[in-house]
Amino acid sequence: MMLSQFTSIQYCYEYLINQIPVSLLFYSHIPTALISILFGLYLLYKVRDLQSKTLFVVLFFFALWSIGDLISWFSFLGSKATMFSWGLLDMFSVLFSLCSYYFLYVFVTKRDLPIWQKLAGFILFIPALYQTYKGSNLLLFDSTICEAWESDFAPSYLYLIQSFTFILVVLFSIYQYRKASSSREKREVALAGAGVGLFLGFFLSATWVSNYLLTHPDIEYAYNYSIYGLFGMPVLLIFLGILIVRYKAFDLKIVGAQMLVVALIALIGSQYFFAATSTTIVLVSVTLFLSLIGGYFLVRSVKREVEQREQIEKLATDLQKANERLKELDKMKSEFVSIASHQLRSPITAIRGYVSMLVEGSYGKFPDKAQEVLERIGESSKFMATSIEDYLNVSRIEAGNMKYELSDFNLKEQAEKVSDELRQVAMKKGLVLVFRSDVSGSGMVHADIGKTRQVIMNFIDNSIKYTQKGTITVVAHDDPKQKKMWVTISDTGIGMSKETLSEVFDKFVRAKNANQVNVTGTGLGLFVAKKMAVGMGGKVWAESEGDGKGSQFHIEFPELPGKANPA
Amino acid sequence: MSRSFISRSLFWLLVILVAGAVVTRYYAYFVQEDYYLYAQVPCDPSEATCFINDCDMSDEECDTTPFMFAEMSASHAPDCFQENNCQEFECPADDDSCVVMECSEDALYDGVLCFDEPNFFLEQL
Repeated sequence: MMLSQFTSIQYCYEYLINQIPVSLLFYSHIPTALISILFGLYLLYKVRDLQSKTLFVVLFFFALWSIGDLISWFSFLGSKATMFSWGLLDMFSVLFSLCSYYFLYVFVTKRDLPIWQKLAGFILFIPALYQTYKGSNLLLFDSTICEAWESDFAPSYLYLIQSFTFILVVLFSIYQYRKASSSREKREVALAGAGVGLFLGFFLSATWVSNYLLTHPDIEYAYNYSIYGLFGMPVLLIFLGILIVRYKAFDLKIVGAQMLVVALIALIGSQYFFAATSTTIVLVSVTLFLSLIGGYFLVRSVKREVEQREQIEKLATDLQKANERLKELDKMKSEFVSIASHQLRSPITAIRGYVSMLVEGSYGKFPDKAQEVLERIGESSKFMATSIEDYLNVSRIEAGNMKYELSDFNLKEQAEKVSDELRQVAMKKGLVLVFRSDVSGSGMVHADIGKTRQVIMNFIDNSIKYTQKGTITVVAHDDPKQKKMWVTISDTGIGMSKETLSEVFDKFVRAKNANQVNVTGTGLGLFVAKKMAVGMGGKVWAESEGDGKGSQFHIEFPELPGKANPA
Repeated sequence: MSRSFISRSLFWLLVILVAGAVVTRYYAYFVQEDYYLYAQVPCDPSEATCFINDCDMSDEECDTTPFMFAEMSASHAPDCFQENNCQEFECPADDDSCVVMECSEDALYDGVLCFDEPNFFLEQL
């Protein structure tokens, strides 16, 4: 009797190709297994922390499951191979499901899983291990349909574990998402949770569908639906890729270009499963080769650019740190100067007072030579007192302790008074100091009267210091339409180059040619004047046509409305 | 015991158990052939109640050869049984693990009938 339908291996092969396209089996199993194991190995090679290790374990067991599942489909390889590979599937599946939660926990919390949870996971694994060890998950090999018969318990237990892990992953992700303090942390938790959740969700739904269909004898090839679970792995890898590229997960310095090139190569390589003719195989090979070469150069160039950018970022960070340190030192220095200046101010005031009394003859008349010496002591102590006052002002400004007592006053009048006070000093140096007014508005401003006088005084004093001959002109003028008022101090002094102009209001800055005319400047007067003017809502600036061509200093304040004061 | 010691112990225990399970299954299936095979075997209608395909339910070419099912340990199964290709088969007398399943009401499933020889030939006429 001939049994024509029974042709052994050929029978199982034909049974398989009637059931499902072999190329689909290859396409769904081999690339996912290869990519996951290569990704896991690469990760472990680059970073050996707990995150990488747990992810590697997930990917490793998944790859084993994927290869085992493929072999179990290929029953034409013999019943032994099918029974062996199929028999291990449940164990691997339980392992990668439980380890997925382990990985997510470590990735999100950056801590190892508590011991009690590890023990709980181990206990959950024992039934699957026991079944595999005893071989009780498979009942027999059915040669008529080229499949193994599973026990009732095995798929149910697997379904239970997958459901449990899936729910655990979802709840854990929601909890950690709500707990995360920053939006970046929230996004990381969401991406990792979604990746692992979808990975398990695909498997769970595929297992559920195939288990459900198995109970309906009218539906053929129920196991076909289980292979869609495999597509959960590429989804997980995509989410991990986003985490690596955008959030530098695992401390991997992988850029988007690298991920894209790897994905492209994998996609082109997978075309081999469909390439039926020699022409297509050649075309796929050429495309793969060109993509490999192009990808290599692209990745190398992008990597170099990224390294350069990282170097610049590191330098900028270092610079910022150095800058902060300098600011700190500057503040400490200002505090020191402030303390030191306070200590100096009291004795110098006493010296000035007694010298003044000596010069004025309160203690009797001195010989002319001694009188001259006393006058010099008086001038030097005055300079010292001014310098100390400047240092104190700088300290106050930098510490933010400068106090302004704002009131309404006539700026033109104050400018005129200061000019009158300094006229004697100018005349002593052979200079002419002229005051002129061109105010058509109220001439009133809202500022600190004492400090405004100090600003004007600093500018006029500065002009006297750096003008050897000629005139110093102080002009008070306004524009009621613009509601602005200015005091402009012009001199015929040494002038300033463009370079000096740009930094003349900086701290401790003096013009290069300043020492030729005056050696006593501290380089603080203009700095203090500017800070004070700005602190009162005003503005100062300087102009000069160049070295030796004189200078102009402008003080600007908002003018209060009203009519000009006839006085 | 420190936490790391327990974690490490659990990990290595897991590795050993998984590897042990893999090796055990390999040995059981490949070396001992410790599993059962289930196959269609030829059936003589004069000696047993055979199954036969219900050709009314099939649009494709239908085989009307009578058959029955047999289950036997893979280690004792002849090659033809392994390959589902036996042209003659009888359970060995001394092998308790070999079971032959003839057609019965309980064993029927979609697409097969119990072979009723007189009626079958009548229907063929």
